[in-house]
Amino acid sequence: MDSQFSDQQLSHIIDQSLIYQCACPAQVAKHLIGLRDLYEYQQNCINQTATDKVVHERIAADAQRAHAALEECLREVLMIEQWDMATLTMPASLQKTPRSF
Amino acid sequence: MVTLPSVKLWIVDSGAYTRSLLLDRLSLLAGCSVHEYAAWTTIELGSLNEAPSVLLLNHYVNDAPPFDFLQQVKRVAPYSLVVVIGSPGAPHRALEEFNKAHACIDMIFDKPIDLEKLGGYLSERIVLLRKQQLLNQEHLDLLRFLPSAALQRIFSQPSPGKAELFDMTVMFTDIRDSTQLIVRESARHYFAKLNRVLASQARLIRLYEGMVVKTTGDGLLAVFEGAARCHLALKCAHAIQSSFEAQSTPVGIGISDGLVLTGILGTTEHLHFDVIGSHVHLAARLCSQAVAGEILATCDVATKARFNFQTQATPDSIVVRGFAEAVPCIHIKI
Repeated sequence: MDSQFSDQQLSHIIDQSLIYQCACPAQVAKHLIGLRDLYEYQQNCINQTATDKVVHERIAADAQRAHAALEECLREVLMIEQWDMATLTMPASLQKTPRSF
Repeated sequence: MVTLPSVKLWIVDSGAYTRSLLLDRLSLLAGCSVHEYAAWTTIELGSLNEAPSVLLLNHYVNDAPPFDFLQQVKRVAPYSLVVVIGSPGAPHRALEEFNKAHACIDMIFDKPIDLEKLGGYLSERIVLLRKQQLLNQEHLDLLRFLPSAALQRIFSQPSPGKAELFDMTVMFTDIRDSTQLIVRESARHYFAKLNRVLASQARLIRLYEGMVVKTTGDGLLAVFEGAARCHLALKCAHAIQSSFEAQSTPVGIGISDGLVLTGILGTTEHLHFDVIGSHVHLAARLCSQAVAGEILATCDVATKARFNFQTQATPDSIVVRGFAEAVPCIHIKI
């Protein structure tokens, strides 16, 4: 599956949402991880019949499409929020409210 | 201002006139939704949610004996308040004899009906019932931390005994060599330390969007839900093992992922959320085999997590009681 963001980059985005209250990009990152798992699951699911094969291929193809759309969404959201795209660091303006526990 | 929950009060009375008198008087009680029935034989009690919090039965000697029905009410809703109005003399003694054997009636009032006395008694008991229900709800609220939208549905309308299947990552933690710690430090000191360790773990579980299901003696059972649940669970386990508390009081952690049955167990007087299933069992077994400072997770969890631990990770195949084949696992040492 083609991707703009590596697993480590997604993990890094999620980490920052765990510290600060701005969690929206992390929500997208979490769903991207889920879509990657879904895609891999379909790739590895056993094809016992021709129907199985068609079903797995269909789900994998749509997972890929959804993944591409959400990755583009994440990229644009990070740009709107003015994250540092090289280090994927949340801008200081969004870091003002530490999460309370 | 805290609003106490409402309780269901059923009036069962075959006499239309007395039923209307009771209905008029008891409708004035605060925090009650009152329902009237002409005969208990028409009532079906399938589950606790269908049962009343308060049952008021005005029994006539010509009515069918209500003993089976009263037993059924207490069986379905053991903490409901059952009040019976009976005739004095032999009918009263029959009710008392039955109650000695089955303990299904909380209060017997003799006829003629004293509406003020009856209303006063019910009013006091209903306030207590409502307070108890509020405490139960708050108890659930304290436990749930940050449930997902799906789990919130279970919590917002607790239906004891009704289970739902969820894909979840299950995590058990457990302090290693706790017996030696108790002997070395005294039980009282160990208890205080246990509280600090579990509080620290619970904070991290909440931080990583998990939910503490319950404490398990020297550890916790927690679940994670949603698209990145394995990722968050492993990160959480990593954070727990790296924490100051785990450095001073070593723990082992077991993690598994898959379908689990979730739901609320108990009665309206004591409710708790729980999870059951083979993955819960598996996570518990992995936790018991994890050495101090180790996370023992299934390979499935590690793959789905897509997380580079930057620590020592060793694949293994572990025989777990109850599983036909060895389970591919990964030992992660911090």
